Amino acid sequence: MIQITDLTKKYGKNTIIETINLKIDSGQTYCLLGKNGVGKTTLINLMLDLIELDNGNIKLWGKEHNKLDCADKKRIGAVVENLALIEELSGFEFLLLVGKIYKMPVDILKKRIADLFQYFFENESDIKKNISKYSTGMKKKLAFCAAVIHTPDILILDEPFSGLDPLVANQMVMFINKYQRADRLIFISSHDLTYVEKVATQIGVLDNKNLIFNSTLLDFTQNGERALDSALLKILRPNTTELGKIDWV
Amino acid sequence: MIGYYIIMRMKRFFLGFKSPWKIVLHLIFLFTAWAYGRLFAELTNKASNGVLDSVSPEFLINFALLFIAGITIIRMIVPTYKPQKQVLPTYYPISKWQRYCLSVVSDFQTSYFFYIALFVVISFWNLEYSKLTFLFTGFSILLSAHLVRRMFHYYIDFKLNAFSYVYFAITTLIFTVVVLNIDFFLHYLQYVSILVPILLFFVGYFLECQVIENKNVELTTSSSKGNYLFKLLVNSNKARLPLIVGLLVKLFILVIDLVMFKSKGKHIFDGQLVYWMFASPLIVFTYIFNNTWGFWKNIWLNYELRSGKYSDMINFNLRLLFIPLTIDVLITLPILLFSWHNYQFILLFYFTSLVFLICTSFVWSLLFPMAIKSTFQMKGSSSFVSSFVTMIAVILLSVIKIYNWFYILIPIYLIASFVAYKLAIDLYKDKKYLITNKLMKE
Repeated sequence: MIQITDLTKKYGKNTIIETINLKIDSGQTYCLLGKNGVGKTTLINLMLDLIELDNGNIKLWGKEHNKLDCADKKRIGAVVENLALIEELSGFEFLLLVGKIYKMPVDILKKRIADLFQYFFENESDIKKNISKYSTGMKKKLAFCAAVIHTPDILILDEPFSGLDPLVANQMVMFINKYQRADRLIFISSHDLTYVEKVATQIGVLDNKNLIFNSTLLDFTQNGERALDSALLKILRPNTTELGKIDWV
Repeated sequence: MIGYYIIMRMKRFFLGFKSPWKIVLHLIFLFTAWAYGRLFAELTNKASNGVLDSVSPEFLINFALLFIAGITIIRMIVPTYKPQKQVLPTYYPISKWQRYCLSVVSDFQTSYFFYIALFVVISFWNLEYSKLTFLFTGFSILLSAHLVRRMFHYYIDFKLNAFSYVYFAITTLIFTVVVLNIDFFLHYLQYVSILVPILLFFVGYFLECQVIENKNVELTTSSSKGNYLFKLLVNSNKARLPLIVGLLVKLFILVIDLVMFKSKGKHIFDGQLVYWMFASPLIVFTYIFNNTWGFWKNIWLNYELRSGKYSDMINFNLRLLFIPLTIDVLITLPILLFSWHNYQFILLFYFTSLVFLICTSFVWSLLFPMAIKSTFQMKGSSSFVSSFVTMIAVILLSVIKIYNWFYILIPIYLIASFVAYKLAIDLYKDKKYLITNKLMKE
């Protein structure tokens, strides 16, 4: 479904991603891990054709990612870094607008909005509130609703769990697991290993411009022998020697 | 701390000289301040010596002082409103007095004050008479005008305690007393020159103490029902305020023109060139819609993620334009038709410029997107190129008034509009990254 070949992205002279190769098939929930600023969001923005790549190519369903037509775009759902919420509108109006962009039938759209709100939001009046009044967590939930409302085949989520309380994060985990099907692909970039562990089938680790690990969750945790965080720390090797030098703490 | 801050600012200023353009710019400013200082002193000296008999030296000095005061206050809103800079966030553990002093010092440590001060000093140096008076009053007015400007900022940018309005009333009262007894105070000019800035400095500090919090200028929180297009305009202060200001300025000019035409039989700006910039819907575009995606970047992002077709985005842009353009038509056409009595010209000019501005705005919004970070920003709300080209185009179109043959411009403008529309759609796939690069870097 997604095939990335020799992908390189530079900002000026600074190389962010260098010759990455990656193939993700349908039925997988691929979780991309890595330190801050390593290029996870850049990779997502490249996949979504929001930024221009310098070299290589990205194909979705065998088509160049920058040659997708309107029908192809409708098969993709995404939560991007800035959430893409239109804060002047209420949650309901925003989802209605999103549905109209997808040209969804109004009755189906309204039912889905009602279902999603009932599942993710405690207070029914939240639907009528302006998004500018929403908390960070509420905004994230709304962005997630906008990403799944048209049931896309490829769902791309940039940090979907950050800013969510444990209850809602678990609700989202359950939703993602229910959403996953053999003909769908979910791509997640996240730091929240607790939730990643609950949804991932495949793990990729991005570090130092390259994909330094790309395999199944079981390979990553060595058949469950190692916790996800310790497996990640073993790969990324955090700097602990410098801490000893700080004697004033 | 204040000393350290001043040094850091100066260091930053000099680091800016790495760019040759900045050096050239500062050299131009230096030369301008020097040239105007010399010129002003020369004129005043000639007036004092009786060589210039049309104006008195007092008139020239008062004019210069008034100019300094006016420009110092007006630069708050021209070319756009610039809110008061907060040097440190309110939660920093320093006293209000320190915060206030730091803020005032930082305000004065700008190129603007340096060059105005330079103008005053050069004038003082070259003046033959009233040297010291000009030096003292010049600096006093420069300081006072800026402190007055800061007072306005407090009322505009911050939520204040009710007590602040007592200060406002007292200041207004003092100001009124001074204006009414100006001759008396002019006798004690040297004392007034020192006392006024000191008084304003302390009034400013008292206002600083009354600040509760910043006013939220990003979004209003109206959640009233209604058309979502209307809400996109009304709930976005970044778009709403400039639009209101722009349309009010336009209405003001057209009404003045109407009054002038009815009373003197003449049009404002002689009914030439600049006049037609205000008569066309130009202001709606240079203020907002030549940079639509800068104001509503997430609308663009939603359309790009979910549809990817620029024609869809253009359709949405057109719907968004409907309300401001309807208001513009209602403001403009009745006044123009009433004051010009040339229906054919007015209607053709207005609607041709309207079509041209709409179609070219799709290109400008794509090729020259600008991030809108505050309601009013010094660099303007749409690109210089788009404003310049559309201004020239509208002015050029007004020549159809002069000679009938120039009506040939109308089909040319309509063809150009169609070409701009097609160009925007064709260029979108290649140029859309400009929007991400310019607008999404936050």
